[in-house]
Amino acid sequence: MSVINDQRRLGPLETRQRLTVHVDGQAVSAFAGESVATVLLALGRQAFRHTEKHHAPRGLFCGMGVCFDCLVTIDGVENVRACMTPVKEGMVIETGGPAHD
Amino acid sequence: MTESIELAVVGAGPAGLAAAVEAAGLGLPVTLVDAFALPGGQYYKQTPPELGATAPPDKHAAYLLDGIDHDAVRLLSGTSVWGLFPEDDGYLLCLYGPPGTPRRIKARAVILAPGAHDRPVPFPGWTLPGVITAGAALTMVKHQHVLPGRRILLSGTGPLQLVLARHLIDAGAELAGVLDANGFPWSGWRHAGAVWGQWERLREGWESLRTMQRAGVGIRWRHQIVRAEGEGQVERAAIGPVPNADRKSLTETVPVDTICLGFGFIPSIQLSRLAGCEHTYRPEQRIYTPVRDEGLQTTLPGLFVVGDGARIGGKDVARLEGQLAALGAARSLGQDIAPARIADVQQALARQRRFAGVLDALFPYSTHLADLLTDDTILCRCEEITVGEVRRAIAEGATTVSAIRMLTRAGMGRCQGRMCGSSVAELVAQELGQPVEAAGLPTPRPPVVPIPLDGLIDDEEA
Repeated sequence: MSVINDQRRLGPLETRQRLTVHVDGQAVSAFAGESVATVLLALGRQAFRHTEKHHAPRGLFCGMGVCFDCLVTIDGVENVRACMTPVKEGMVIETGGPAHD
Repeated sequence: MTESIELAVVGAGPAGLAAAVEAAGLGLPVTLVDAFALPGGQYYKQTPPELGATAPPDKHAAYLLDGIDHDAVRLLSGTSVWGLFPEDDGYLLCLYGPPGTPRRIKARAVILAPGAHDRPVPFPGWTLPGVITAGAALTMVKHQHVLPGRRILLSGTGPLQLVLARHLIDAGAELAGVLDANGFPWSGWRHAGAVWGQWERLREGWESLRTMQRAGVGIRWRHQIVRAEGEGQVERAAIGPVPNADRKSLTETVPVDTICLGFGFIPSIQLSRLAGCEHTYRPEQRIYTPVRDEGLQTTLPGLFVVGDGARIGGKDVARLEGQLAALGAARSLGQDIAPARIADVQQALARQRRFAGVLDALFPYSTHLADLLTDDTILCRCEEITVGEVRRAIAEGATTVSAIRMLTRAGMGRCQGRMCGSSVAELVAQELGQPVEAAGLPTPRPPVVPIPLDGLIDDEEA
């Protein structure tokens, strides 16, 4: 069963194509055309990762690919900008990086 | 092999689209390179069709977005330009895009339309998730159809905040306030002449104010965010009056989950700097811009820069500049362009620039942003360098952005100084009592955007 959280989504949803992506191991409902950042915000998640030095939480900031703060791991590729990446069916998204011991 | 072409346009916002469409209309083949999945840039941003197509923002947007569907235009979407180097009779562009995208292009003329990004404004807590730029909030609500938060504070300057406020209210968000760091623009009446005829913009402003009024949201003039607080994400925003040199007078602390910052824009000058043309500081906009002649050519022949990537002027200035540069580029490539045609565009451009000048005058750079900095405020988001560390470097003798970069690593991270460069220069100016431009600019280095290592390799070598 995938998590469906449409409360923050706007406009009619019936006409959109629903997809399933995986966020930190959990199947999550998303829509074609959405960015990874949008899917995370729709889940109510603002923190996307932690920084290398101070392990401080970060999330969306500039929203246009400039600041490199919204980095997540997508299908095993690290440091991908969530705001610039459209979701695809079956996409595996990992937040919270980088890995810490 | 490096492909040779006549004209390359970088950026597909209003300026780049207009340049490409004008060139194509002149029968000049053009390669239009754009970092985003869909053309339009920020002003003409398109909602992905899967989320429900929206109408273009105005008739020019509709015309230009249609216009690039032309045999003479090759659009390379989702493609970064990470290098731009002058060569004999042209420029080498280094690209990184989806499979099949050329890695190297040699163009005889180049029009850069790289656009701008929201001015980053550091204050305690500004790296907390939930603090986003006004541009990010607008993209989310308008083009991704998602609410970035439930209870939102807007802090910044100028009329774009009102547009954002309206979209957020219409989408059902609760606004905790709209703060403008400047005072009410009483001198507006003096500019009636330049505003006359800008009905579409006035209507948008008026409708935004009406929406705010209905929602019971007023503008608090001479106020700004002072501090964002929360565990793991934004939970509260402390706001205060402007000026507020010691940050001691707090008006109140409001519960919010999102704070949007809209303090103006900074042109993306990385490529024009890397190419090596001259740049100058514009104190009225607190930005660096490439030096351009009347035809928008830089100090390097055949290299033009147009739109907000040169100087913040808005979508209509950008569009007309793109058109003008295309005419100039065509002429430099040997086409015969009627002087009357250039004069027509220049006249329309002068009118739009007058209006842009009014916005500069009425909604200036907020000179009280430095009030917000505490020693433990993060200045460089990428390398997590604090104001205190930069102040120490200044105390040790650093007087330039470059020196501070070497001493502290501020500006050496993934964003390559886009998020901290202006703040570092402002801080140096404040600490040393010198003009902002005295801190200079860091030396540009390729790649100007981070790309995977394999992206640096030419196809042949790959």
